[in-house]
Amino acid sequence: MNDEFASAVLDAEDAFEANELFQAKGWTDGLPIVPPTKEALRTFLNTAGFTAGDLIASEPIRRRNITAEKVCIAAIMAGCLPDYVPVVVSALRAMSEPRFSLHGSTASTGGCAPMLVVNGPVRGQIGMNATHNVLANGCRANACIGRAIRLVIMNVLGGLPGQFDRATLGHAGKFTFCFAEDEEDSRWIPLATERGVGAGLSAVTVMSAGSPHQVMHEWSRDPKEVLQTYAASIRANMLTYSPRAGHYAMIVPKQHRQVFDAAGWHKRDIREYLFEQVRFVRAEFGRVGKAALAASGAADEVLCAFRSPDDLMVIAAGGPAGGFGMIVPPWAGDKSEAVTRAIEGGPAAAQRSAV
Amino acid sequence: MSLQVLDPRLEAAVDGFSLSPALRAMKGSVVALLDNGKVGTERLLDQIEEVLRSDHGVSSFIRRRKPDASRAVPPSLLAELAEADAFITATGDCGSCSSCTLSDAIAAERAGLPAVAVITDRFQRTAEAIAQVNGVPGYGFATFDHPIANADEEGLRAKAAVAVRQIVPLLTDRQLRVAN
Repeated sequence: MNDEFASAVLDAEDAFEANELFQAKGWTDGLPIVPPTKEALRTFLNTAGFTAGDLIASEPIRRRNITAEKVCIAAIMAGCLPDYVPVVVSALRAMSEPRFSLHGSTASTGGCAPMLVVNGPVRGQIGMNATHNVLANGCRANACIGRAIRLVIMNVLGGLPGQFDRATLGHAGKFTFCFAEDEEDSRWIPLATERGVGAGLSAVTVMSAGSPHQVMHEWSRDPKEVLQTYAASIRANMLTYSPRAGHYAMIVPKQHRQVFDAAGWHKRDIREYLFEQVRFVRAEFGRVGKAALAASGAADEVLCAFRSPDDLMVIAAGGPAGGFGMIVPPWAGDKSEAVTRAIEGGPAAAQRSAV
Repeated sequence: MSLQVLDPRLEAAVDGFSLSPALRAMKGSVVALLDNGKVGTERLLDQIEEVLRSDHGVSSFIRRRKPDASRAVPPSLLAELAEADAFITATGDCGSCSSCTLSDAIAAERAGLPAVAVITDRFQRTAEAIAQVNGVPGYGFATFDHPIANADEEGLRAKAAVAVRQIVPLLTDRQLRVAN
């Protein structure tokens, strides 16, 4: 019996065998796990300032009341350090807001992934990456925070492929999809500040993200020309995936930011320009084999990717060289809203009280 | 010395719940039809309504459409549908909508209406998982061949006939709980 924690206890010979046990039971994403021991759980809960039974979030369709104990177990398994827990917890709280549609977005055949963008001092405190190879491997905090979210979806919310996760294909971001904005090397207002979190506070923004699409443009100093390439990617998503309007993310590397800086363009200018570019008339669907969509409204009906310019989240991130940006499309337009939350507790709280 | 590790899973918060009483007879009954708004659902429900009216003597229907297939039916909409004698919701042909379609049928049961969800056969496991977390493992639902979105009128009519053959006993014989 285990009185200290609600979770059942299993015996394993060592860490290697513990991983084999979890693999056999289907309790991992396929990658090896760090064994969630009672000792580790105590450390994580104490560091993050939680008791085991603290309620972090709820999901009504799957009838889950997510406790700090289960979140910390997922974080341990994912390879997190205890200081990452406040980011994981804040992301889960953001995802449990009804407008995020946690059940729907993680059950869908559309196969999206929660994308986490972190702002504020916590990035430096836990060593997050905002530059080279920002959307991929090489940074423990980026990798393990995103992975912890996936392990919560799998083990805590029952999001097992074929059961509550019905993704037809999914995409690589479903292993982990978490990065920081490059605030230090950008003149722009950080994403979380634009979305209402006080300047200088740590925050996380979560979006139900389809597979990202990389664009390339290295041949112009005209911000409009560069943006027309990003716009083409967004229109392609509307035509080939879904025209449903909602939050898109646009990840802008330093080489492109320099073009915008030279022209005096801020995030707002980018949003307003693109709002006019990411639209076409319904008849266009006829050119991509979607005659039924072309016929489902007036041929000259104008469809736009954004409900307003504010639907576009412009994020500064990426390595210093290369004219490569990214468009991250929504799962299903406005069916899932991106949610931004201040990060409470942990190093972020220490930073706030020190100011 | 072996390592003690903790089970990472979380059980659903299941609360007590029993099925609504059976519908005494289809003939003369009022049936609620909840459309989840997916492509093809309205036409499918037209066909189901036609079969229930002509072959089973259902006297009238209350039809509503859900604002979002990937979310639970809003309580105010469920309250309007609860004026009926029985509840049918369709359709589920994707991950989030199949689970919500099942969830809506169970919400109708909780509101006192005998209910059936109609989904496509490829989402059976997802539907069973919803029944499980609601404390009614084995809760029956109607299925037919996937998919719906590209079915023509003839195809939809055939699917509706298959669905109604399961719907009637599921509403009128509450012992029958095994999906087709």
